[in-house]
Amino acid sequence: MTGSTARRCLLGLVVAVAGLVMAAPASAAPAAGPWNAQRGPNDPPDVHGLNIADTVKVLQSWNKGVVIIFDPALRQLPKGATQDNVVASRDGLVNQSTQSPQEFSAANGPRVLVTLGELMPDLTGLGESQARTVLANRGLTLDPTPDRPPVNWVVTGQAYPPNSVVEFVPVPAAFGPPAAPPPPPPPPGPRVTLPVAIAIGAGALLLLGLVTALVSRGVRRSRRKHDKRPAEHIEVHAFAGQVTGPDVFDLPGAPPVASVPPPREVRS
Amino acid sequence: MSQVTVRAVLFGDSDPGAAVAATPAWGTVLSGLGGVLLTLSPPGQAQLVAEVSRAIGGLVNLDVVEVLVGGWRKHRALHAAAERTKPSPGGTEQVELTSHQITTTHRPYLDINVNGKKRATVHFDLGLTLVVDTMIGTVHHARLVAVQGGRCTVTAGLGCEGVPLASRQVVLDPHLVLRLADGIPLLAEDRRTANSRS
Repeated sequence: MTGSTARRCLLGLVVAVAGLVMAAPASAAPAAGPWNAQRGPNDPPDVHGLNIADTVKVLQSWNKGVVIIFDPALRQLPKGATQDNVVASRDGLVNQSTQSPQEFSAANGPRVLVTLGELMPDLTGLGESQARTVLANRGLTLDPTPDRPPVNWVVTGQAYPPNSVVEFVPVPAAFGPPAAPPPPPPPPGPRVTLPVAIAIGAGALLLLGLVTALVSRGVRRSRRKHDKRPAEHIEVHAFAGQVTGPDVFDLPGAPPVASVPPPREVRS
Repeated sequence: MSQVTVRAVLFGDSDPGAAVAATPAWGTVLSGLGGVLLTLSPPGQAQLVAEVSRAIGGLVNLDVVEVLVGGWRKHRALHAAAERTKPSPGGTEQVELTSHQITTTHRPYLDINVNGKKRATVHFDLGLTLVVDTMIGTVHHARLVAVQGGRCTVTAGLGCEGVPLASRQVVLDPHLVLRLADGIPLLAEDRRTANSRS
């Protein structure tokens, strides 16, 4: 595994964990979340993912006297976010004492707090400045990993999937070096006719035979080179040569030799 | 006769080639072969040195007892006793020999052939001196049939191209090394007959 690949995997893991942490309070998933599961018979209908007009329409159809409170207020939307592109993230009944910045309808009906957000754009492959621009056009901000990615790095992962509803919180995104483009497919080979194929096969066999012969010859030469037997034929012949003696001498000072008959027969 | 060789005297149970190769003088021998060695491949050089060492072992297989008996056959007193006792089948004499010395010198050599051509000759000198103490030999019908006394001091020496390689002295007891059996023929004609029988 290369360093860049490992770094990319690590960043992806960080983004995934961050996404899990952020997804629950932001209710980013477009599908029905815990709010629906806990919704009682007197609760307002789920408006998740609906734009302002549809949200108002659905809530008023539920209760004509409903008081709709938007968070953030429609007049205080972040820069880049407009009533045309924000969507409802979640809604719920609030107490009478809750003070809201804006009441949309009559003040004596049930009060519903609608938290607004934006549809998450697809940031994959964008550089940091491009990603910041795309998010800023929807009133969102970027939370990059690493904090200051190199200029040539691109988004390799984002905490919220594209088209999910994300509230106005910094959006985590992982950056990494751009992936190498896939190698171009090999050009189609020339079409080979049967005689040409046979000729190529025969040539390959001939080449294989030549290589085998050369290798075996090299092995034989190598064995011959390492053979301990000498190249020369060496013979060593021994000859008795000149022999002198045996000669016998009486040592100086020795008395003369005496020869006497034996006192008795030696041999029985 | 049991065999006591110059090889055993000089080197005991050791390999003669290895023993000689371990001597400082062996370098002199090899330097004498330098002219030949330089023309050989490394394996050839190793083979030549090994062959010469092996051949040295064959050069020192001279039988010491044969030399001793050969000297006695030339001893005038024993020869005379053999001549006297030969005509009479029952004739026996005891001959007292004073201390005497038996010497022999062998000059073997090795011819070194490379690819069928003689390239060098290496000469060796093998000297053997036996000093025999006073002894009494019993001669019966021209054969030495018994020996009393005659402790034998053997000095052997081996040299190569005038350089001494090995030298050693041992003492032999003739009673232990001589196997007299039917007696040792002392006259030349008897020896030939005995050899033809064996």
